[in-house]
Amino acid sequence: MKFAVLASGEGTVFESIALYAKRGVIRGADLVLLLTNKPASGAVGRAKALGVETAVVTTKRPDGTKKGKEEFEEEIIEVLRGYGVEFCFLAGWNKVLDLVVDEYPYRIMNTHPSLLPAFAGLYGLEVHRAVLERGCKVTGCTIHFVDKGVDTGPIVLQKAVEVSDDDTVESLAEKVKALERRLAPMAIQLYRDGRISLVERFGRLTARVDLSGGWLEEWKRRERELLGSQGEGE
Amino acid sequence: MKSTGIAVMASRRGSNFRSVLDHVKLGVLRDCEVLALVTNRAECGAVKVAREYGVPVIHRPVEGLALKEWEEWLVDELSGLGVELLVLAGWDWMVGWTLISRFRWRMMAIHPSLHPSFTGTLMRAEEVHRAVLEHGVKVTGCTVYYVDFNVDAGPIIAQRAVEIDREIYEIFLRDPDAAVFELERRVLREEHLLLPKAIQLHVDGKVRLLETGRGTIAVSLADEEWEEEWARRQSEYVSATQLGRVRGDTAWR
Repeated sequence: MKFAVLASGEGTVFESIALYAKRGVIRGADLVLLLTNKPASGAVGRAKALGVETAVVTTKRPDGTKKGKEEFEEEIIEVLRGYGVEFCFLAGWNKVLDLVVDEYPYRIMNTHPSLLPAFAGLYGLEVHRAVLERGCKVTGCTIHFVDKGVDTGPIVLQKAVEVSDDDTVESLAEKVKALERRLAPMAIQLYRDGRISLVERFGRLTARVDLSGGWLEEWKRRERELLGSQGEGE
Repeated sequence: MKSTGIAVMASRRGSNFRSVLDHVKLGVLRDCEVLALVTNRAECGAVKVAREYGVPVIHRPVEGLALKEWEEWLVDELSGLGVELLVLAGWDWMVGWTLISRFRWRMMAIHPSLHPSFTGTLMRAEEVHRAVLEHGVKVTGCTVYYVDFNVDAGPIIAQRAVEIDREIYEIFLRDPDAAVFELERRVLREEHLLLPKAIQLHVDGKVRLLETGRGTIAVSLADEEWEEEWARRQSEYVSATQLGRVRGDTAWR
């Protein structure tokens, strides 16, 4: 399976996915492309350092005028097709996609830095600010399939983390990122291994994830080889 | 230390009420006493729990009455008892302006989801858990919060997460009611630990209210020492439950 990561920000989750892929923790799936809409983003630098090919598709034309949403998305699709991409992972991608979602139905996943459905529709640090302003004592992250809504698609994986009273927006972002860096590669492998099935129940699609038959133990073993003792947690 | 008078409001099984009473009985929850159970349903499980533990019951049906009238009656009943903290644990009726303004920041409730997810008009625990499963959420939990005028949006005192594994979703496909029951059981086990902790935080003056500009939030002032001491004491409740010395969540099986 060939897959791409789409990122607009720092690219730390992308970096983790790339590392997992490069070191053979993710198996049977080739990370063929980092696609970004921000040529100056941290993700681009990280892709270069890791030897991952980069494509830049911005919302502006060379003459400085703004592209329409369709034009922007068609360009993305063209690039993805060119690389033979079969699956996309959005890791801090900040644009809502429609045509791309049509092109890759339930073949795009996103990571969102909260426990959905809480704090849907916010992006990046805004999420953690909202968590702190609401006084939540528990937050986390969610990996979900992308559908036409914003942060509404079937949930694949979630993980909780406690909010401490001395947490700041930045410290919370770090805690949650640490979770995302581990859950994102796992979700990609689950997809690659056909371990995720979509089930319609009460008019709503949900994702069922099958970790049985030693899958989880094997994943943890491979992850431990990469992370060493840090990976002992879970 | 002065003992804080508590009244628990419950309409249903009363399993959280029982857990609070067991925590007090075992000396885990300290410097407070449960002065009364307030209920709107004479036949509910909570009333049986109150009888078992010798806790006075204040009962009056609320259905068909103006909420204000019922709440004024309750405030009168409570004022004579010296109740300083109201704890809503499976209370199945609206809470109105009269009660909230009289007990603002001295009235807490437990809810079987991680606020702000799955709040709103959902009232009964089963309905919350069903919505959680229909949504396909992989982590849920429970929240203890101060009841405010915007009922489900009050300051969060404490929360605890509960993972939903594949097994529950397998059950959900075959038998949704059984899955809801199982999830409720798992979350309740955490509720039985979380509510007494929130009460102790309040009683010990460890909850500070802060304005964030977007509303009021609750911040815990408990330090590591407090947390460790609490965990140590609560382990006594957990082992007493397992040994059957108190019924705990076994009451539910």
